[in-house]
Amino acid sequence: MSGTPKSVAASLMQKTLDRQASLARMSLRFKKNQVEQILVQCIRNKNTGPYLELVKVLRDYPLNEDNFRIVFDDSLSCVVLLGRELTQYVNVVCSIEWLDRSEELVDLYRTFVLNLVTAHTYHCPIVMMRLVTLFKGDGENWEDSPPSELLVKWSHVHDIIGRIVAIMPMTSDLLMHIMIEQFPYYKAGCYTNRAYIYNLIWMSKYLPSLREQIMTAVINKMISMDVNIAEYEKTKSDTMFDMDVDCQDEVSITLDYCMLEVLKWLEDEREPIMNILCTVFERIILPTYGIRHVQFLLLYTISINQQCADRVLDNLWTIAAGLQGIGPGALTTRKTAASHLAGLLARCVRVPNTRLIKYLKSMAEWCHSYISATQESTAACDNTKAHGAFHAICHAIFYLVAFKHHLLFTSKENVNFVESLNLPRLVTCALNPLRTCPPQVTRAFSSITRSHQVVYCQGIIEKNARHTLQSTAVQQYDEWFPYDPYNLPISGKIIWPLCIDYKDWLKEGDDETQYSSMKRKLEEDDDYLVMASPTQRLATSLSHGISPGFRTSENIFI
Amino acid sequence: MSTIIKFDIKELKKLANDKNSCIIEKKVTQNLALQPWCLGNLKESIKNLLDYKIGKFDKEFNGILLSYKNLRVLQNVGTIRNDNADIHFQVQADYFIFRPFVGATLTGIVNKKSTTHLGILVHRVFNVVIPRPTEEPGNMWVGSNVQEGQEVRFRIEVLDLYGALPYIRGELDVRCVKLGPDGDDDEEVEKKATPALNVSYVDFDKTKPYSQKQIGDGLLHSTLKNTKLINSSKHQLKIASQGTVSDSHNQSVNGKSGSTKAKNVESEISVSEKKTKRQSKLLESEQKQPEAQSKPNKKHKRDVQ
Repeated sequence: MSGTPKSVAASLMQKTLDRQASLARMSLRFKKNQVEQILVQCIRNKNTGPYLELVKVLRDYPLNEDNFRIVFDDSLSCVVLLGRELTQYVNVVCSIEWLDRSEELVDLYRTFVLNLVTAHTYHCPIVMMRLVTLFKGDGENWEDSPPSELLVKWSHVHDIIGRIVAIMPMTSDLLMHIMIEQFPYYKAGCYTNRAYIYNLIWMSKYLPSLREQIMTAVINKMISMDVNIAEYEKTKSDTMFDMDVDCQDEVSITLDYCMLEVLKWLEDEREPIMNILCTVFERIILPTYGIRHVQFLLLYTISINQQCADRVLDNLWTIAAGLQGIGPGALTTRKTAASHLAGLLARCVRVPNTRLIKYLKSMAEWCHSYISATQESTAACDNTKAHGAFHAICHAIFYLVAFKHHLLFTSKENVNFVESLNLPRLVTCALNPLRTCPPQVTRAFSSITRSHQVVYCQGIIEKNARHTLQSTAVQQYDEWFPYDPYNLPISGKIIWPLCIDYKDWLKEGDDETQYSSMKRKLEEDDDYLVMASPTQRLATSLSHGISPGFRTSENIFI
Repeated sequence: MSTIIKFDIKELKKLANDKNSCIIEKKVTQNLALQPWCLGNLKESIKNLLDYKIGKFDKEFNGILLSYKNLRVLQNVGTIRNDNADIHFQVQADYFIFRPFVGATLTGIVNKKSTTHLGILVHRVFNVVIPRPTEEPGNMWVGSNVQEGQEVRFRIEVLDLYGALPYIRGELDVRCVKLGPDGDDDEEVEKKATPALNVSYVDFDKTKPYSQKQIGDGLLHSTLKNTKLINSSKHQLKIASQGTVSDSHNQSVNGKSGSTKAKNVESEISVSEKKTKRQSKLLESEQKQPEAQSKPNKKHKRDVQ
């Protein structure tokens, strides 16, 4: 009982305080040179009272136009005094809202900031940080391009950043550092992430020397989103009850729009950016295992640019075969490179058949020489770890033969080529690559080769099955195929036309490309996608057994 | 710094031979600790490690590392000490180090001018500030006669290299700017000697929103704009009284993206026409094209004389 009157009194008190504060805000009026005087007093006479009050006022109250002008005019005229002791003031002044103001006041802010950073380089981190955080505001997602008033605002910020870097070239590293540091959290929402990435890309246009670093930062962030989606999908099948379904959907939407922005960037700048993407791919995307989406940027690039394609494919092959000068790399990287190579050769529409034939040939040659080399060693040991790279490359061959059957078995000439690869030797060799091959690849490969009388693998498959029956350990297959159909609807519109769908040779399919089928699927499922709860979708997805690697676009939206 | 401005060795050699540049060349043998994963590509990793240090203050060098050459790994075998995972290598190289000290005299190019201070760029990267002395009686300051793009000499007063960016404060060497206000010719010589401010690493056309970006792409357009600027301002000088006419004419010629900028500059020029010679020199020129604008100014002055 005693608490109630007290709290009433407190709330009344609070109300009075609020009213006073709002009154003060209304009547807050700086006189000309008042701010300057306070600052000068603080520096000369160590009279910090008014200074601290000023800082508090600036922090708590929004300024009207006149006050804004006075504060910045005064700060401008005593910019030399704003040393380290007044960092607090600098911080507060820089965070004053300025973007929504008139052109003249924006100019004033810009002049002040430029004067400030040239006079005191140590304030640069604060200023830059304030500028970069302006890209992180809230807002509505946009369709085609951001609303023009937003663009104008952003262009003010970019203008200041550009000028600072032009005058102080050393800030570029600092800027890069702050950009990475200020990157929004990947769950922060679609708009925030997209706007931030949009602005980073914008920055790369007027600061071309930062392109590669910016690209690295953006791709890094997108990979962390992608990995989280993949991680989620893995756990999805384990647990039926998921609490953070919406959140996860949000991440995939975010990634979808970020992909769109980067694709636009690639389309916009072409050559230089594509080369940079290839470099970034080799450094960041390639060593990442299990991602589902980001690598399609590479597929897009090599579809557009033949030079990039040759560079990337050559490099992937060098890594997979361990032919680079400094000795073979890590086994996982080699495996990943092999699956990327196989995936690109199989799925990309624009990769010419000559490339497919070239790489099949070099892979087969490499495998044969590997077999010859290991035969000479006394005991062909059973260790799949030691021969992991060999297995991975054999799987790539099997996968390509199974996937590209419509091409490889159509003419006599091509069949001759397949026979020249001497596949039976690979299948029957002591290292037994079929044993570790993912079952769906084995199945498709054996059925297609049997029907064309190239290889008969049934005996080996059955023998392997008997062996696995004996052993207690469950066989783990590598079931990650990096270029299985892409399932983000918005950026997919650009990517789908560039991908080939798998066609089972037994099914007499209609000539549907991935694009048309995806589109049809999307239109069909429009209501369904909106209506169906995630758990329903989950249930349907569990009932279909779809083999990875040969996944068609038919079965990715269920 | 390493990303935007790169020094080539020749340029650094020249600077290192210059006593007044505060840049020294020094052979240093140091011990670098590498992580085990670096062993895959030793040379590359050491390079990365050293590149990372470029542009930062280094205690060992007692200065800011600018570049290095003749990198040599002195041992074939690295050493592992105690229980540390790091592998140590002795590495020797010739380093170029910027080692300023209080009292040193340096020359730099003014790239920012305001009423309260001058911003100066030394060796293309280091920013130096020369504040206007506050205690000075009257309103006279030699610094206000200096133009952007001009080369000046100064003495270092305060130095702090430990921050994210080095902070250097200087005091203007009065002798070098004394001729400024009167000796027109001298200044012209000086101007020609110093190259135009190089801001090739920032493309200001592209800080505008995308929609305008299509019009202004790359160098070609900006040079076009420059020549047009000069042309139009010359044009304007001939018919000085009809500034507005040429304005509108120019607008139609330049198209959308250039027009606003050109207009700004023109209006500034036309203002300066009415004022005295000295003020016209003070003209806050766009530091992108200091030369392009100063030329018409000069012409104009002669016309008036």
